[in-house]
Amino acid sequence: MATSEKFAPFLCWVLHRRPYRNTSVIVDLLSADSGRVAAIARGGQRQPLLQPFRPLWVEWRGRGELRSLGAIEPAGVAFALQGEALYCGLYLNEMLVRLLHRDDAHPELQEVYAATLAALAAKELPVDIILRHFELRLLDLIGYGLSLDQDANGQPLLSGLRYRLSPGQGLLLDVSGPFSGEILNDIAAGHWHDEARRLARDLMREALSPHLGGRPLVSRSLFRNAGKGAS
Amino acid sequence: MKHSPLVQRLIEGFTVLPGVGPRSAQRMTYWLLERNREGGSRLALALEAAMQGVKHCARCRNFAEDDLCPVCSDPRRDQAQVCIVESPADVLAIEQSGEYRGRYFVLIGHLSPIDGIGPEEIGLNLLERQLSEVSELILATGTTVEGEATSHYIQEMVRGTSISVSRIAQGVPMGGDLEYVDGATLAQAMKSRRKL
Repeated sequence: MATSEKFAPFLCWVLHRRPYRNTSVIVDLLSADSGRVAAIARGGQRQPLLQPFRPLWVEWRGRGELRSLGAIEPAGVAFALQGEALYCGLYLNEMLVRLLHRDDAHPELQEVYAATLAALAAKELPVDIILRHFELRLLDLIGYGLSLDQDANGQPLLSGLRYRLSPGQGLLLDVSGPFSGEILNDIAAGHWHDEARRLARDLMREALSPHLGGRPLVSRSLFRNAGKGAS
Repeated sequence: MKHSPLVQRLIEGFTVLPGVGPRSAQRMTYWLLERNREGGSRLALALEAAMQGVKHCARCRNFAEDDLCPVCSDPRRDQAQVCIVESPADVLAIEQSGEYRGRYFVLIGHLSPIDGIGPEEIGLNLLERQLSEVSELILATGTTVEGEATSHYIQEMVRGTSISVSRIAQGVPMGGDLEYVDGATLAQAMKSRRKL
């Protein structure tokens, strides 16, 4: 090879892996400096470290669409996500794979992602609230930030009024809009009562859908028994 | 050099096999044409017959030539005990261990939302319809993140019924030195140690 540039090592998270050829895998990695990166790991099907939810030190070669993975070392223990928290982890990964463009770096995102996994593993809050925080931060980081304390014209949200979401703009006053100003204010203030959680879910679904290309996230179908509909 | 059309078609045909690229496909093609035309014809017939004749068992989704596979139609096997595996190759591996007398349910995959594979795609609606005839489920999906998610999803599906559910044990392989076992496996083995 003429240019065998080696970049090493990076702190990465595996978002997704799919088998390739006999024993190799193609992995989607979340890195801090290069964003979402695809790389081929030769013999990776037998590599137990290449699993989601575990921080890794990873070497890779090349700069193109598909890098070539070198040495892999654990950079910490895997988050033991179980049950609903595991579905949430898969939901995060699916969202990142669908939303992030390749090689589009958002340096803070990795930290937000790791903190979200930690919160899911520790069950600090109900999982849906953890997911909503992540979705808001993610939209913010990729440049589609949604402001919950003012409408699209910079006016404060008023309790007695109703709003709808206009993609790319924000919340707009609308007498027949689906979102109540009072509950939006509760969410902005961190009062997560049941109605606020339902509204936040519907609102984030609407805010995310233009960026997901019309197809819903398949991970949502996993939450069959979740009372409040975590996703 | 360009191959003649029939030869080219056969080379392209071989490349559908896993691990076979254009070079190996060309070698296989020439070998059959030069040295073993009879074997080649047998292969062609066997391929055609299998592609037409092999379907999925209506009960467990494993490969079968009749409506039911040999395991599902065997009266000597416990039809109320069901072992859930990801692939037909897993069935074979468990069968060869000779330790199991129940039947199987083959998912042919695992939950993998990013690839668009949800519960329906791995036949869990079919499994759900069979639950009334089942007394025990043994979850033998992989120890990957997706295998764990699949296993958890099935546990939830069964919750509230009287079906007993277990997950196959994970730990140190037979004949292995602890020194060479990876940390995650060892931690799991320690966690699920059993009392003697």
